[in-house]
Amino acid sequence: MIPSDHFVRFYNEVFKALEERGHEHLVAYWRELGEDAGS
Amino acid sequence: MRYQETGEVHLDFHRTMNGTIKYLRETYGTSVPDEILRRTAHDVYREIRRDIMAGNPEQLVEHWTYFLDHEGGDFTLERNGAEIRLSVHLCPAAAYLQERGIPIDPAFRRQTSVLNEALCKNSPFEVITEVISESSYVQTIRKRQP
Repeated sequence: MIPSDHFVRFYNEVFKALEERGHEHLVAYWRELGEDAGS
Repeated sequence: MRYQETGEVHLDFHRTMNGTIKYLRETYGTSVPDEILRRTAHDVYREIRRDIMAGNPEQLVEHWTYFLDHEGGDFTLERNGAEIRLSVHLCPAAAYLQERGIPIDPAFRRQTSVLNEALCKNSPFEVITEVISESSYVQTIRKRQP
């Protein structure tokens, strides 16, 4: 389990991985997050 | 110890992480969230991995028990010689999601196994992760078998 305290560090890895695929992948993820990716 | 934050816990981050991993799996396949978890193990938990590579798994054990305790998990730790067995009777992340009726994504459930494998890759140790239920598992760290 990644502790909730390490959420920001995990997200840093997510952002880096998406950016490597192209900025549009990061933007698409942000859009999804804006629509509440967690629900 | 580097990884022992002491502030308030924010368990809702597990919900967002579950949603993010679900998005990554559905968009790119399981390999992408798995790869991000492996990178997290290598880069974020660099010092834990360094100790494991050097033959000392104690920082990993401290990490497990500190955060399970910090987040209100239920667990027992047993030592049998060089073998260390952590039985997680109630995982705080899974419990938080289950209490809210949020389906746990299959790739989210894999995070413990993927992290453990990445932390121990090419080291003298292996972690055997046995999944008991969605919210309980046993992870045993031991010297790698020849």
